[in-house]
Order: sequence, then structure tokens, then C-alpha cells
Amino acid sequence: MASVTYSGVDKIYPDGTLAVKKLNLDIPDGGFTVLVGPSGCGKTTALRMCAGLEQISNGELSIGGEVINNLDPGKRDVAMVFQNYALYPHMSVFENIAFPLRATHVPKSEVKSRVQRVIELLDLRDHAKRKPGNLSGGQRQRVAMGRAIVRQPKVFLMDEPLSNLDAKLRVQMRAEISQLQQELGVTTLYVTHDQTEAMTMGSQMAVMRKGILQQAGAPQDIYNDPANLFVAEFVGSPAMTLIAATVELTGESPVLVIGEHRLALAPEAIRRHPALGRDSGRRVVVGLRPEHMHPPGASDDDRARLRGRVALVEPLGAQQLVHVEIDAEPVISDVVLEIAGDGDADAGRANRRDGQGVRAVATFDARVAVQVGSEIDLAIPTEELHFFDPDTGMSLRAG
Amino acid sequence: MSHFRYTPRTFLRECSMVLIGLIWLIPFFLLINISLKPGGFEVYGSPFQLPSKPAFGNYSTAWQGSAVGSLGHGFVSSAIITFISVFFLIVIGSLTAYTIIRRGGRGSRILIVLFTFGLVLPVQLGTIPLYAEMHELGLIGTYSGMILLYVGLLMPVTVFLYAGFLRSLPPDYEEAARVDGASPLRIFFRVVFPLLRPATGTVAILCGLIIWNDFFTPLIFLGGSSHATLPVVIYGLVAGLGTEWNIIFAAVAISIAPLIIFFIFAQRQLIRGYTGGIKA
Repeated sequence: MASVTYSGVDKIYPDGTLAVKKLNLDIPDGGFTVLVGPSGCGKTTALRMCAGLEQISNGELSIGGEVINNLDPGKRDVAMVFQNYALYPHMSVFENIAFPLRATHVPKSEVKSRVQRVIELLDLRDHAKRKPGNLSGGQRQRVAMGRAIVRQPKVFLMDEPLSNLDAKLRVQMRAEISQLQQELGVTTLYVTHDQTEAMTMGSQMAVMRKGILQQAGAPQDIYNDPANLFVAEFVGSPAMTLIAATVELTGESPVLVIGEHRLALAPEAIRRHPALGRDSGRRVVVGLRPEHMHPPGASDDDRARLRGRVALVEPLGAQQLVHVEIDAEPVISDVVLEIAGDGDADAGRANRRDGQGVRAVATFDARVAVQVGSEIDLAIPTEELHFFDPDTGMSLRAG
Repeated sequence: MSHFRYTPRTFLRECSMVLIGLIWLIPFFLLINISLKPGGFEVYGSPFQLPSKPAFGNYSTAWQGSAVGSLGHGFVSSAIITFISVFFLIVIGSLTAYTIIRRGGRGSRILIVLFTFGLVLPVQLGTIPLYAEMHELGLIGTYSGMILLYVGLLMPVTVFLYAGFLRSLPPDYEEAARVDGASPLRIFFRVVFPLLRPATGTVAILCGLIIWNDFFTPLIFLGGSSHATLPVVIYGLVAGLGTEWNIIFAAVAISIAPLIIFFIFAQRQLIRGYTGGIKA
């Protein structure tokens, strides 16, 4: 086992395309880091550079302190699970798992015992002699994992390994991979575009966009404190609602003006975002998480409120997603639109409908009665709001 | 309950297909029919008329061969040249195409163009310089010379077939093997080559048939040697006057027998090879 460190790593393709720019990322020994971002963000390229399947244009990549920029893939002691598993179709499950050992000339008797152990561990006993073409998606996924595990490598690299599975199997395999990683304690770099996988699986999450690392940290920290509009919108499902607003400094406390609404900002909001208390008339982008918009009649009546019309209710069992049209200014600055549009496409569309107004998505308890078409007051705890600069898209949070 | 498994429509379709299939059998019928005719005037009669008395002895006469050599000898020569040439075509052709396709770049593009030239240039154009060169090297009338010639002549089509297949082969398998620590040759022979089986089947059949049936090249380059191939031995049976066509037909029937037997046993595999892709 070993740590993996990207130090100012660039990837520039011969046609000049910059796929990864100045990537600095540290994956601690035994850690599970998830690289997440929309397609084309450079996350797979970053992973393939670690595997040795892509040349590194600039910077240094080290495993366990040793710079491996020019080391052959086979000599890096990493194992990779591919998106389509890349199981050798002409070999049986046993032979597939044994391949990395045979390729590195491990003695025959040891190959057999190690492969048997992995087959037992992954519950593939009944399929050892079958070819990959005769296995189900979940079984193939397990064989691919087996091929990675059997080598006992320093690092696991996984490239969207669950994307070819159906929803139910994905949830099951997600848990299995996490558990296996914890048992084996092997440093893991995992690439996905699915933010649920990113939130649930890793001890560290790294969000990328257009080849640039946007933010890295514990998944919950990133969720609670996104560094910019892109991360804010990309992480979390349903996505954060973004609204253009103005901060006015009149009276005792700063007031957030959203369309017709005036929301007094809680002292905690100002403490977290000191920039809000500086200039009156400052334009900001406000971000609201679905769980921070409460149904009317919630206990604390003094909370700020946003009034809107219920456009759609999606029941989810224990909860319901309530889409509320709020008379407010959508976020239209070019920079912001571009950044936000790069994130979760559906959420992006929901936020910016053609007409005036913003569609906010709130999660309510399923027992709250909500009528489609009715007017509703959303109680907003302003200390939970996120504030961003409309020109740069960066968070206004202090520190 | 009826056990008749056809509807009128499918029955008609099946019948018409059987009839069309029969058309393909006509040449075989003529071949066998004439090969069994006792000789004399009967050979020049209607080819569809059955022999008055089947002359199975024609086959043993044909087996004696001609002045060029016996049919058995021709068989051995044809088999040696065909099998060894096809073996080298497959090994060298697949490795060449793999390197060209996976390496990419300008050099690869130039090589592909050169091989394409080789594909369109008629062999006959180069016969005289080839003959002179091979004579110089002492390769005329030898198995090795013939094999070298065929491997060279058929390399463009082999590389072309493998290259087309390799382009559609996802590189993931090779990448997985590289990360697994396999050497380039191991990657090729253990991972890539088995996946090329459909292309290998096509190359083996196509090149095998071309070499087995070829008359012109062995006539020129093996002329006068004791290594004459089947078509040349059979041609030796053609005399200026009084050619015994029944004997020649018997010789032809013997010469195509191994191919037909091969097709009967391997047809399922061959069809799969032509039509099947890769099952992951």
C-alpha cells in the first residue's frame, strides 16, 4: 500500500487539447478517493495517467513517494477495473483472475491458491470455469474486482466500474466495493460521474471540471461548503437552487432582496460570509439546498419566507420533492450560466426556465399536504444559505 | 394435431431454397458423372447422361498422375506449401497489422498505403523480375522459394484483413493486460491474437484457397522440379491430342475432396468466424 500524489500534473494531447491542468491531489495511504465530474472533465484521464496508460505532459505523479511518470504500467503495482470490465472473453473466470499472476511469473502452485482464495472471497465458486460472455453484469463486475484484488497491488484504480449495472445492482455493488476496500485497506482512486457514488463511497471526494480540480475534501464538507457554483450545483441531489439576489444594508441587519421578497439575514449568515456586510447593493447568487426550504407552519415563525406556486410534487415514499415557482430573478450571468450548465443537466434546466422566475426544489416530509397549483410559503433558515459571487462563481464564505 | 411444421408460405419458401441449392450441386454432379465415364465416345456425349458402366478405375488411373508426378506427390507439395505459407501469413500478418494499427502515426499511414498498393498491383506484372531474382537466390523449384513468394504476395491482403478487424477491437483488453504486467508479446499472443480468431479464419480460408488452387505461380516457379503442386500435376494430364477428360475429372475430384471434407466439418465454425463479433 502507498499514497498517491499528483503534483502539478498536466495532460496535453498532441492536438493541443488540455485534458488535465495543474492537478494537485493527495490520496493518503489506504484512503478511498473519488474523482467526480461531468463527462469530459478529465477525471478518467487523471486516472489513466496513474495507471500509465496516458503519458504525463508536465508535473509529477508519485506512488509511495516514488515518482512513476516514466514507469511502465505493469511495473507500477497498480490494478485497474475498467468501465466495461475488459475481461478477456476467451478465458474462463479462473484464467481471467489468474492472468495478472501468470503475466508476472508467479509460481503455478501459488497462482492456484491465490486465485482460489479470491474466487471464494467474491463468491464466484460456481462460475470459475465459465467464460465472461455467460456471466451476468454483477458477476462480471466481481470477476473484474477479482482480477484487481489477486495481485495485492499498492493501488486500486477504478474507472466508473458500476456504470453498466442496473440501478438495484449498482446500490448493492457500491456497498460491496466500499466494504472490500475497507477490509483490504488498499489505496483506491475511483472515477465516477455519479455524485451519489462520490458522496457515499469515498473518504475523500475530488470534483473536477474542464480538467481543473475544483475542490477536494471529505464528501460532507464539500456538500456543506462548496467552493464555487459548479461544485454547489454538481454535488447534491436534487441540486441546489440558485437565485440572483441583492444584499441591502439598511436597518439593523443586512437584508437579502430576492424579487419582491426581503429576507433578513441571520447573524450567523453574516459571520460565515463577512463580504455580505460590506457593500450595500451587492449582487450575489444565493444557493438553497432542498432540505433547507421548509414547509409552512414549521415551528419557528420568525424565519424568512419565500412565496411561490407549487408546480409539481414528486412523492418518494418517506419524502416528497416539491417544485415551487418563485417570482425571482434567475441566474443569468454568462460565467454563472456556463459553470452551472456544466453540472447536473437536469437541475440546471429546472433552475432556469424560459419564463421569469426560478423553480426551486424542496424536500418535504411525505406527510405534509401540498396541492399542485396552490401558493406556498417556504421558510428559509438564512444561516444555511450559500452565497456566491455572480462574476467569478466563487463562494463568498470566509476561510 | 398435425406434425407438419410448415405453413403454405414457408413450405413454398423452403422448396424454392432447396431448388436454388440444387443449382449449386450441378457442377459437382457433372464432375463426378464425367469422372466415372468409361472413356471413348461416351466422354464427349451429353455431360448429364449417366455412364453406361461406372468406371471407378479412372480414379486409380488418375492417382498415377502425369509425367510431372503422381497425384499423391502433388498433394504433398500442395499441402506443404499451403500450410506453411498460411502459417507464416497469419503469424507475420497479424503482428504487422497489430503494430501498424496500434502504433498509429505517419509511419503507419505510409505502410498502410504501401500494402494497399500491393493489394492492387497484379502479380503477373512482376513475374519476370521476381523469377530473375529468385533464380539468383537459388529459390526456383524449392518449397522455401514458393512459400516465400506466397507469403510476400498475399501479405497485403492478410494485413488488410487483420487491420480492418483490429480497428474495431477496443483497446481496453490490451490496456488491462498492460496494467496487469504482461509483456508486449504476451499481450499479443495471449490476449489479442485469440480475439482475432474471426480474422484469422478469414485469412486462413482465403489465402489457403488461393494457394491451393493457384496454377500460374507454381507452373512458373516450380516448373521442372519434383515439387509440382496438384493443379500442375493435373495439367500434366492434358495431352495435345486424345486427352482423357474422364481421368482429368477424376483427378480434379480427388484434388478438391480434402477441401470439401474440411468445409463439411468446419462450416459451423467458419460461419461463426465470418459473422461473429466479440462477446465480452
